[in-house]
Amino acid sequence: MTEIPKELLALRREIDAIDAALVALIVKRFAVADQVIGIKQQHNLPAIIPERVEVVVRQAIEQSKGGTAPADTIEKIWRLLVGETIAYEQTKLKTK
Amino acid sequence: MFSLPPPAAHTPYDGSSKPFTISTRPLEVKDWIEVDQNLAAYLAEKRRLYQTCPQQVLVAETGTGTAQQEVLELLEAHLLKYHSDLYVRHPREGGGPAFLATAPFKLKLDPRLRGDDGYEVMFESDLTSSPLARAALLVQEDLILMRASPQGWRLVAASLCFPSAWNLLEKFGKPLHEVHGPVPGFGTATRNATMIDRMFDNLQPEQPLLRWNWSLHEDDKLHHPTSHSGIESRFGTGDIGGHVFLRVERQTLRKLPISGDILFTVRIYLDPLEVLETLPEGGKLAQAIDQQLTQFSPEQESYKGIVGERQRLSARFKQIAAKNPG
Repeated sequence: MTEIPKELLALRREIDAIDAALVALIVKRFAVADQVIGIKQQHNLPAIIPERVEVVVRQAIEQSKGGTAPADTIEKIWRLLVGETIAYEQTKLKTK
Repeated sequence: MFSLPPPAAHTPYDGSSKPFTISTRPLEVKDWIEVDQNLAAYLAEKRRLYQTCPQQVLVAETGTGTAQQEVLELLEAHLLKYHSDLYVRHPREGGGPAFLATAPFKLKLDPRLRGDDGYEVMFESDLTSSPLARAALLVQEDLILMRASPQGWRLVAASLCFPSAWNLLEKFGKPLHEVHGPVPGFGTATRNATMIDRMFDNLQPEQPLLRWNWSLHEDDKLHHPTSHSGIESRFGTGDIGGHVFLRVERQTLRKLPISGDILFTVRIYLDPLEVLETLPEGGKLAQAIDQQLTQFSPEQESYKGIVGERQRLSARFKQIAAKNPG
């Protein structure tokens, strides 16, 4: 078996730490979504508000500028994240 | 359900749909098309326009035939599923594919619109070759087909009989940001134009969208192809009463699953302003309209054609609110 270079191991540890932080933030994001569901229900608002989706995706692309992550990649990830959050909200709104 | 629309069937002017905002919301597929007892009158007016000025109300680029057919089939399937009490599939004499027609005994159609067999005669002219025209002659909605292009989403085909102060020929072939060019805050390179393009890009076939638009018009004509922009006086002289109509546009967006084009539908609702005197919440609605008009910028006032009428309108809304405090 090929030996993994030490520098790569170090970078992998860094990626693992970033992933842990990302997962924690996604969990936190869904906890906020739980509160959003309550408010949307109170005000009879739908889970999906198309303009809001575009604002969130656009913000993420803007914030990523200056880094090396391609804007298209950021957009794809954020659309997936937002889409999954909406699906979660829709399910919860139906069951409430 | 098939019934006469109640007065002020939709009231987006209650403050829930702010003018000059995008404000789309999800729409359940079952609610896509609205049919009521005005159907026969709307279809008669469409036929009149097709006969008198077809080139002004029906446009299509070459290469849109397949997408038009997709619209027709989608609409037929929808009407048979959700309005099966009103539409019947009618066999074609001498064979050929059956076509969908309204059931005239339910619609109480004007006899002039019926064929000898009692069914509504489908449009008999060269326009019958346009699936979009055939689709448009089934419903009260106008139908507009948008297609993605390097310049953005372009208006590539339309049956637009009931424009609200815009001209189809001026917009035909243009991308959305140019179509919206005269609308304050929606022209090329504006944030709204970018947002709309992105929303169109990401629209999903299973998730149609709904939005409302409303304006004040000087009559209850359905066909209004002339812009009001810059017109100083529109609502007659003297008493403004009887000269103002609430015009509501129920707009839907639906991504076509096969072609990938987007079908934009517009349904017009018209009520005289005086309807607000008869509704329990009419005073509040008058107040809400007045408040929103007050917030218009000079450009927005000009676009809506109320620059010279602002004071008279406000006085009338205040009068209605005082008479009908709710």
